[in-house]
Amino acid sequence: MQCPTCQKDLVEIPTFEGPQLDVCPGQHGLWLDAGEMNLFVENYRALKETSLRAVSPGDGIPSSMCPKCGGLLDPKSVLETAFSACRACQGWWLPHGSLTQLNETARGAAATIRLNEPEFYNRAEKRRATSWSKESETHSRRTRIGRRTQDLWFWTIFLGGAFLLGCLILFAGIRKAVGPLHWPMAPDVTLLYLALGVGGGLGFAIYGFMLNHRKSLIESIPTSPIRSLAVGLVEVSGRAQPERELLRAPFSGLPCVFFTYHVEARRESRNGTRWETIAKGTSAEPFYVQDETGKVLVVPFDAQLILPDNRTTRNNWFGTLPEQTHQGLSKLGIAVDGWFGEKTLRCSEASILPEETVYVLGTAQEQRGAVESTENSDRLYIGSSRDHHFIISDRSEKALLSRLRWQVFAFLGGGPALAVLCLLLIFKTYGTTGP
Amino acid sequence: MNGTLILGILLVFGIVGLIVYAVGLYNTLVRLSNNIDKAWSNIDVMLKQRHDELPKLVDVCNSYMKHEKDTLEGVTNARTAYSRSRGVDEKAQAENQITQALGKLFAVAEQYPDLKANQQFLTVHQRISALENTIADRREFYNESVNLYNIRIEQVPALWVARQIGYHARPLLTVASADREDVRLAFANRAA
Repeated sequence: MQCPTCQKDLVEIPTFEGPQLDVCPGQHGLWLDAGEMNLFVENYRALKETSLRAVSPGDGIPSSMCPKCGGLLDPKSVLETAFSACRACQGWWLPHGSLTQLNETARGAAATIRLNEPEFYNRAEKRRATSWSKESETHSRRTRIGRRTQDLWFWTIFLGGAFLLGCLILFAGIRKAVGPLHWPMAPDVTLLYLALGVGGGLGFAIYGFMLNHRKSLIESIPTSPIRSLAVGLVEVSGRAQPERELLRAPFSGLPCVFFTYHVEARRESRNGTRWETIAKGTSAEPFYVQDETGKVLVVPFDAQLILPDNRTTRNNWFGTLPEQTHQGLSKLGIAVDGWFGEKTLRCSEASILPEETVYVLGTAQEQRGAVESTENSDRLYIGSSRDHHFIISDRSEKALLSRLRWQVFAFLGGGPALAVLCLLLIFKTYGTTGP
Repeated sequence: MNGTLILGILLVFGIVGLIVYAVGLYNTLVRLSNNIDKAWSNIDVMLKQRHDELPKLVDVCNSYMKHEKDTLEGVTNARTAYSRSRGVDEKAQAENQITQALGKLFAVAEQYPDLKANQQFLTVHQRISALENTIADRREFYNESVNLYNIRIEQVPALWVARQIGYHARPLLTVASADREDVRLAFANRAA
């Protein structure tokens, strides 16, 4: 809607009395829809009963367009206050000061209406300024995005060109090396190992990038107090507590809230002996993490576990396993006896002890059927989701990051170096020029 | 073994590594920036919940605190100011006003034992207190997210990527000096 006097857009101002007022930011007046006047004038009945005297154009109020429907505004006067009324939609255009004047002249015994008309105009002016600055901010944002897109295109073309040039130089080098090449040695095991080295190096580099992504994710999310967890990816740290009863680690019998195990059997073959995994798993029971502000349930299914303190038990000199390990294996349904006595087994386990500090990065979700409550222990749990990582560790965030930093350095530095070195060795060892 | 081959291998590996690193850096900055927006939205959700509780509180207090009109109007006006506010700064300011007004109201309510014994008042009071604690925690979380972002965009080499994509430092949520002043209480029914 536009002001009939200056054609500026009217600004909507919310009011305590209820309906929004459409106010001219240039302070020329304000618009009231039909029926809204009773909310802004105390004695509306008196206003209605007073005969409305039509005012001639010579009184200085020109007829103009209705801001709402585009119809004609007729100049009117009531209780010595001039205004304009639309013939079609019955709304009123009140010039500056008219609403205050009407309200003061039509006081009644009803609830007091306190109007602050100048405040409406001030707020309209501020809102107009805010929307202008938002428009200019949007415009400058679009300009920045335009420049940003240009910069991105520049770097894409530059790096793409550099990569193409690098490939051309590489192919030229390969052609120069391979062209007059004779292969004096037939491909042998050494070539296979070197090729594996190239593949392995690239694999290490890719693993290093994955570890770097995980490290970057842990670094970029602040730790949340459990009391104020929000649904979504969260990071918490606190003491581990069992949901119901404490569990028992399978091979050591230690009381814990969570455990993971790994059983390997020794296999002998012509090429030597190797350890083959025959069973591995984790406990399924959820546990609580509690900090100073509250506690939240953690469902450890599908979590990436970083529990470096492994306890390993093996067969002794007589080839038998400890009694506790025996019991743990039979509870897990793993057969111990082989053809010639007990199998040679290596049993590893890691566990989270009660009251041990634990770090969890996962997705906070609402429990099904949870009643609305402010306590997160009743409403939320942390578990896995398809879109986010889920990490449980008995290390602090600082220790975890330090460990990841070294791993990233080793894999990202060592992987490409290994691949490049093996590639160069292949060409050096197996490619010679000339007969 | 020729130099061209070595140069070619090093160039290809180097440029691929550089591109992958730059992409990773860009993604990290985008994640940090979006974390801030999410942290603010999570505060906004709590503010809205508190905003919705205020009319219940004023209704309960109205029947008991007949002479504390100013205090009750302070809460109502602060609530109205919040509903009119736009943008992070205005909403943060309005939120500070509501916190002050509520603090005053609860302090005044201590003078009315009948009100304190009212079950509905106790329920609403508990709920609002819990919401206030959550809001305070989430404000700290928001500031921590902003801090991580600001540090990252000023570190080398993220600094260069941040400048290219137009990322600038963001302000922390702070409390205005007027809101840090102690609340002045005036009890209407104070005995002479």
